[in-house]
Amino acid sequence: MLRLDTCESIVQTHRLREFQILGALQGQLPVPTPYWIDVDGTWLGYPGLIYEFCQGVSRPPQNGQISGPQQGYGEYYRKLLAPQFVNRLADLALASWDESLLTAFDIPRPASNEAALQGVNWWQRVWEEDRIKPVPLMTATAEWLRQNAPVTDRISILHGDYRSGNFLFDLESGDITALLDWELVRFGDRHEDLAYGLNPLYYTWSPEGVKLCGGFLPREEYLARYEARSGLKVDLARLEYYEIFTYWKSVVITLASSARCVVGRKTHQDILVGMSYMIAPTLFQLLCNAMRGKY
Amino acid sequence: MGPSMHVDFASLLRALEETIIPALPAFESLAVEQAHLMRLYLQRLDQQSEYFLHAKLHELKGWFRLLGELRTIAAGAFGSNAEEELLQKAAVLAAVELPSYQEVEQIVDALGELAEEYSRHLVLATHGEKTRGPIHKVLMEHAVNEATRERIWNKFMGFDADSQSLPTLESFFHSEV
Repeated sequence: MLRLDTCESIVQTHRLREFQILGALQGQLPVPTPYWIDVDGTWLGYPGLIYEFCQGVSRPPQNGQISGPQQGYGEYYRKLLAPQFVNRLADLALASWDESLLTAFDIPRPASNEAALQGVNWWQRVWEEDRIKPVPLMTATAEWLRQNAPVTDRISILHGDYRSGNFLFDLESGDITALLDWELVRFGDRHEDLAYGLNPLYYTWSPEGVKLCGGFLPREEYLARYEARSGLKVDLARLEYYEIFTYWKSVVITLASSARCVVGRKTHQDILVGMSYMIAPTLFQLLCNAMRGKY
Repeated sequence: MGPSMHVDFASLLRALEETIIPALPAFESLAVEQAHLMRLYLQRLDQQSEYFLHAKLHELKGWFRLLGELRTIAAGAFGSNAEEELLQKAAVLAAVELPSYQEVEQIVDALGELAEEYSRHLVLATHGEKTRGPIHKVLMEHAVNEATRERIWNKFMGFDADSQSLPTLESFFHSEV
């Protein structure tokens, strides 16, 4: 499988990080085996990597969607996939690595707030570079995130985009066969990945009318399963911080980078990417709701 | 909040020209013709979108002028209270001179950047100071207002889980001061 950079996408990709982390996770999580990397596009024309072809589908065949977060698994597959989805996330929080093989990463120290600050710095830079229009609350939120950056008890590998649609599963058994799309991988606080999956943007509803986080489980069940599998406590204060971070980061991606990508005519999916900035107001409203009374 | 409407039109046109039309088989002549007509139609909408309200107002002024002349010729032979009421409303609108879309957009962009500059100075300069609360209160009010307008604008996309709580575009704009 060839993963090649496009002219521009809604998130900037770092192929070497993706390559190194896939190597680090071999034997720990279901991820493709990476074979070759072309960091600067010398051989492939653009930066790219080649990894193992993995069997599986990202959605049931009756769902005609090409891409997007809510894959509409249906009740049958949801029940099979939900526990695995949360378990794999918990496993990721516990995954080990050999730092000497991860030269593309700047790994933050535990027992400090470096992990949170790295995240804020990353996405604030993207905001400053990509924004089309001014949004004063984004700057104010960045400052709040910086002032309130929590201390991390342990450093974990973070997927960065852990949601439905970013894994493959076997149609017959319902087993997850590969976790994909590691282009936003970094090291940090596990609550960041956890909060990302709780984003209301990825909610679906069960036939009984129960709200399902990530399209999989009710919030309490989602968190309880995560704790049980990982043996790591969910710190609700840190989770709330990273939920705010998630909304803010998601507004950066949808309102700034997506719009920049479309304005620059750099995508082959004009309408789909254009739809991303139409999601931004909903995310921005979530950010407003979460930030109310925080000052 | 989002980019201009011309960016939306450009996206639709590019998808049509570079993805959809080249993928249509030549023997599907009806589809090919419709797609090319759609391209022309979208181009027209893009070019004229800044003038939709101008066009309607121009039409109103034309009818209003004509009626004024007809009423003069009729010299009071016809008429009703409802007619008087209608003409009074029309007179108000006929007096409106719309600015150009570009002029408004330029001022909006300039105001936004100025407000951004102000808030950066204030937010970064007031760690723990008394002014922090008021600054964030006004930023929050503005943000919610922006978010509401844009959510209503994009409601048709179906992304907003809470869209039932949103007013219509018409009632939102008419309630705004």
